[in-house]
Amino acid sequence: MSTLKADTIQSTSGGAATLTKQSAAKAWVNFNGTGTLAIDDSFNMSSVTDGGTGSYTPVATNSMSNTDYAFSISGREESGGYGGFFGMNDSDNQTASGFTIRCRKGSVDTGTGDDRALVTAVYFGDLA
Amino acid sequence: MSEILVNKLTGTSTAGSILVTGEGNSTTTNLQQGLLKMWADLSGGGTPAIDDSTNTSSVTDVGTGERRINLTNSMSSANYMAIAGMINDGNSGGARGAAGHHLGTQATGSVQYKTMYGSTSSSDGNLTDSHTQEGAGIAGDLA
Repeated sequence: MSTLKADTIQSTSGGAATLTKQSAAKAWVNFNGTGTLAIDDSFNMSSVTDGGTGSYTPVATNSMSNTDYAFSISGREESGGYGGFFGMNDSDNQTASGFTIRCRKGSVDTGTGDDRALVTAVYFGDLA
Repeated sequence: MSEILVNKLTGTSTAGSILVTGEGNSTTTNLQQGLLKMWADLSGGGTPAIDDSTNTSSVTDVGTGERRINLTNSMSSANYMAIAGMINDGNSGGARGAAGHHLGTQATGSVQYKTMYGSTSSSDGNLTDSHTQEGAGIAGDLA
C-alpha cells in the first residue's frame, strides 16, 4: 500500500484540493441543553448560545461561505418519552455561522419548547 | 490538474490529523474531524437490516422503534455527533406529521436511536416500526 504523509493538503494553486467523490462535514457539535448548556464535543464550533427553553444557536469558528449549506439536527426525546421536533422556526434565518435550533415537545404535550439532554448538529457545505 | 494516486493518507506531525484548505482558499479544516466515521442505510419495519454502510458490524433490533447499530471500529468517547432519520410509510400514524428520529444511548461501540410517530390522535410520539427506510451517521474521533 502506498502512503502519503502530509500535514496539510492544498490544490496546486493553493486552494481546496478535490477529494474524489467525497465531502467532509465542516462543523459539528454534541451538547447537553439542560441546565447550564455544556458542549460535550465539537468540531469547528466556538460556542452554543442558550436562547431559552428548547432554543440553541451553535456558532461556527470558521464560517461557511454562504447560508445555503446543508445541516442536520438530532437529539434525545423529551423526558416523557414522546416524540418531539428538532428544527428551525420559519422566522429564524440561517446565517453563515449557524442557525437557531428549536426543540419542541410532541403535540400531546402542546408542542412547547423543551430542553434536551442531548442535541447534535452538523453542517455540510463550503467554508468561507 | 495534478493528481496524486495513493491508498492511504497519514499526517506527518500527528498521524491522525491532516488539514485541508477550505473552499474559500483561506481557512483550513481538519480532514479526519470532518469525515463521518459511520453511516448506514437500513431497511425499516419489524426486522431492520443494513442495506449499505461503512464501519458497521451489525444492527440490533432493541424493540419496537429502537435500533442499535454496532460499530466495527469504536469511537474514542460517547460524545460524538450522531444523526438519524427515517422515511415515513405514508399511510398511518406519523405520516400525517413529521416522523420522529430520536437518539437513544450513545456508547463507544454502538449508537442507538428511536423511530417515532408524529402527531395523530391515537399515537402521539409512540415508538413505531411502520416505515420502510432509515439512515444514521456519526462524526467524531475514532479510538
